[in-house]
Amino acid sequence: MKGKNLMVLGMLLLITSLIIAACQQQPPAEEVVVTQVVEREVTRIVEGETIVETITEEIEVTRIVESTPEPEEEAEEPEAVPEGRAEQLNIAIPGPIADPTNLNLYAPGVSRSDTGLHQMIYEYFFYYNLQTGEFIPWIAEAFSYNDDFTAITVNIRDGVTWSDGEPFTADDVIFTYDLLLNNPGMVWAEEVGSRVESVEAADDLTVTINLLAPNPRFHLVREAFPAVGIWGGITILPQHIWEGEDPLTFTNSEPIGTGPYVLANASQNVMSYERDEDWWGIEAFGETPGPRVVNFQHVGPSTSVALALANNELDSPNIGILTLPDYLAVAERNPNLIAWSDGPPYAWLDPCPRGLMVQNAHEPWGQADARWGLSYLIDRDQIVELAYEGTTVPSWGIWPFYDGNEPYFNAISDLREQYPTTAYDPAQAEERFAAAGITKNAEGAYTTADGQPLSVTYLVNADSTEEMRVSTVLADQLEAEGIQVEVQPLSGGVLSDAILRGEYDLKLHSMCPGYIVDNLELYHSKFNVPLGEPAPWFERNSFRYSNPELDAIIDQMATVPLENEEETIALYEEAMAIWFEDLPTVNMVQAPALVPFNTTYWQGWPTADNAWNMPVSWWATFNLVINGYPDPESGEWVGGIESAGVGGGQ
Amino acid sequence: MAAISASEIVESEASAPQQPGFGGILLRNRKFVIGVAILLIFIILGAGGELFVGSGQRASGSFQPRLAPGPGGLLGTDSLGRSVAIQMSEAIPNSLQVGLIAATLGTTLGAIVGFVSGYFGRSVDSVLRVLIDIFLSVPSLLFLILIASLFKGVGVQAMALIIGIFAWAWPARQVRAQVLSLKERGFVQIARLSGMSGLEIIFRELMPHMLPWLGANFVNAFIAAVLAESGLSILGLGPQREMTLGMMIYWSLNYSAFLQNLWWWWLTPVLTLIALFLALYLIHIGFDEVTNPRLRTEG
Repeated sequence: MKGKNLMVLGMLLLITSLIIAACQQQPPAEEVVVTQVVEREVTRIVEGETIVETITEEIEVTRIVESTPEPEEEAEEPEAVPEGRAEQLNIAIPGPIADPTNLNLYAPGVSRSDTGLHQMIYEYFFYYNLQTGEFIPWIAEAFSYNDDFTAITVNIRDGVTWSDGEPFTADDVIFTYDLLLNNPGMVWAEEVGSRVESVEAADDLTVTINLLAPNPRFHLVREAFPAVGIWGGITILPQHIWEGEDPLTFTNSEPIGTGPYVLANASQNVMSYERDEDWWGIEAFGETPGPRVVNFQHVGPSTSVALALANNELDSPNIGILTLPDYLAVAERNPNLIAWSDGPPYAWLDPCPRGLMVQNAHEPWGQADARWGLSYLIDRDQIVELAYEGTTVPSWGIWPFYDGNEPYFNAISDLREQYPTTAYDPAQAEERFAAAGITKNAEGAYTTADGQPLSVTYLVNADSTEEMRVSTVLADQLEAEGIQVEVQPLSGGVLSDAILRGEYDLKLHSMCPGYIVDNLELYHSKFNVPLGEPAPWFERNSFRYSNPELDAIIDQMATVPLENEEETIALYEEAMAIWFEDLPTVNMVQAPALVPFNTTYWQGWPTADNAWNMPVSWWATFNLVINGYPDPESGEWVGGIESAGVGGGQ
Repeated sequence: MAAISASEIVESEASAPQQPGFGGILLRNRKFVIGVAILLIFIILGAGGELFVGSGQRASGSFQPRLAPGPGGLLGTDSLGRSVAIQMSEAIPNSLQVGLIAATLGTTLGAIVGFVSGYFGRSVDSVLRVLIDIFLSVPSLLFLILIASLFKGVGVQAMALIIGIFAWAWPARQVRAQVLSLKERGFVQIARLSGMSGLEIIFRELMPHMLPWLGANFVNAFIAAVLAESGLSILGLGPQREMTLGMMIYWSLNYSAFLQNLWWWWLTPVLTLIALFLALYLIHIGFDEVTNPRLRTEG
């Protein structure tokens, strides 16, 4: 009888717990009762029929947004600020750090942006502010080319020190370049090797980089010159730390840089940095960075990030974590949240449009007809609607839709009309595939010339919300049209290795850096290495495309001085005729960066109304978002985030 | 839980022939019947869905995204434009399949190891016991995450196999303990004296005593496997191109369904999981009561 009673008791307990569990899930359902219907206008940029210019069309999108009265009640009470929070800057990163003990940013597969290394620890000669067009001297003061653009001389700023007190000198620069020239396995070493002949110093603060070929644009080549515009660039290392170490296996777990912060704690979920009170810039600029602590943390999936933002635990998430509907839902709960613009489109345009890299070294994808066939099978509008939830627009190429690029886009308007790269047209696809020897069988499945079903390996970054979403929609689309898709989600070093070695048929990727000439250069065959060997960089021809004609034009473009834009435009037109014909990678969508900022603890964020910098926490330029910078012309201090003065912040 | 010895069964069957057999007792157990009924509903719903839904309706974009449940939308649609109901029709059979494969594999392996280890003893036992202890002491979820992340892009069956490989240690230890006790009983001694081989004794004398217990363990392993699949899938390690209850929760998390108040998207698989656990738990209790007469409330 005892056993029976126990069973009954157990059952009761189980049922009670189930009821409690069910009840806990009730509140969201109740929220439906207090539903408000909110109409909002979402502005989207839509390619017009007259290809000459991009037409902005307003589409009214009505969505049902449910709001809960709860946050309002809470807002009545004065919020207690957690200990130290007002001095912290918390950034959400998309995934955990694979190996927080390896902080060697020259070792393949080690992240420099999720870890915060290139924002916090290291600094660069110059920072290129794309928003204002300023080339801002930082640990260097000036640069000059020789007459035939075969050497660039850089004057290093006096008084710059490493965080351990050692001075930063020309020797560090020479050491780093020598390291890169002698160790081709280091990240971007080949980019340096293909451009730089030697580096020499006239004195401690003057260094000259001799180039292999004339290049008036060398100071913009982030892979070979330590100046950063988009994302990151090669990084000068402290000779006294790295000397005698193997640059590929050295883990650099206590990184020494010249930056305003030092590493306090490194774990898979949080990279924590503390302000270096002896930072050289405090004396040189007379400015102290606001946050005492900066955390780059993996909070979890987008819902967790959103809730952390709503609860003021976060100040900004990286790109691609929150979509527009997410942001609007959070902004409703936390009025202190801002985005690039107050109204639609909310997002800032990231310079790296998304392209589908197609492995040219795998048959049949080496044939332009096959790549075009694939392009015709992709319904980009549906991908925008379902995978990006309307946050972006389809892109005809891999160049950002910036106003400054319009002259280039206008010059190729005929070509854009002739080659409908965003068209979804299964009939055309069948025709182009047939030309590549791929035919549809009776069951509607595409088969290759030898009768095998056409099957693709689609590599996906498992940590990327964006890539996981796109992969589902794209794989569904291709499978519906009769192509077998094997989606392979990987992450960390395994993923980067697989991409660089070309072990994929398809891979969605950011096509960086987004400058006109530089993005064309991604297709240069000098970056095309045999399958199985690591390519210089992901979008730097890991898709293994070669076309000598295009190479010749790109080489010619590289020698045109910056001020001679007309010649560059003419060459761009020539190159694009080949690019469109070959379609080496399949263009997908533009990349708007929806980056919310929280103004509860920190103010002065760059926005469309006050566009003093790029609103990106994963680029090296974030150093300047935190600090601000001296105007290169007037020397006046520009920007920098400041404490909102809540909870006893400084 | 004391097992009923062979002599007892023989006695009771002889004196009361009208008493129902093992199956009969099970069917008279209300908990068991309710559990089986709920499970059957799920199987029928799942199988029905498999039959009636065309593959074209499974793809993303088949429906208007973010539709609330209603007469037209039934259980609503997700942000990817997929019907929640159609996803369920794929997810339930797949999740049940994971449970079935993993529980079968785990229980079978466990029984074999347990019988061999318990019956043959000595060095075989020492080796197997250490192996069992290792597998028991290392948290299997850790291994599952490791293996699943190594073989990303696995399908439902592969996932079930991975889970099943880690589900044998517990039944093995239990079976071993039972066998250790049973093999000292008189009827086993007699069987041994009458010249039966070790395998014969295991299958003909010991197995019948263990079957009900293995059944209960099977159900338990089933629950654990479905739970493990959900856990792994929610972490993003599930079968990406197939739908399971765990993957449904993963996608709803990926699209912040909770934040955007698309409650029908995440609540449906969560409630289904709860109902499924309840059904399997009732079956498990039913089994337990039948094999352990002291717990019996009826029949």
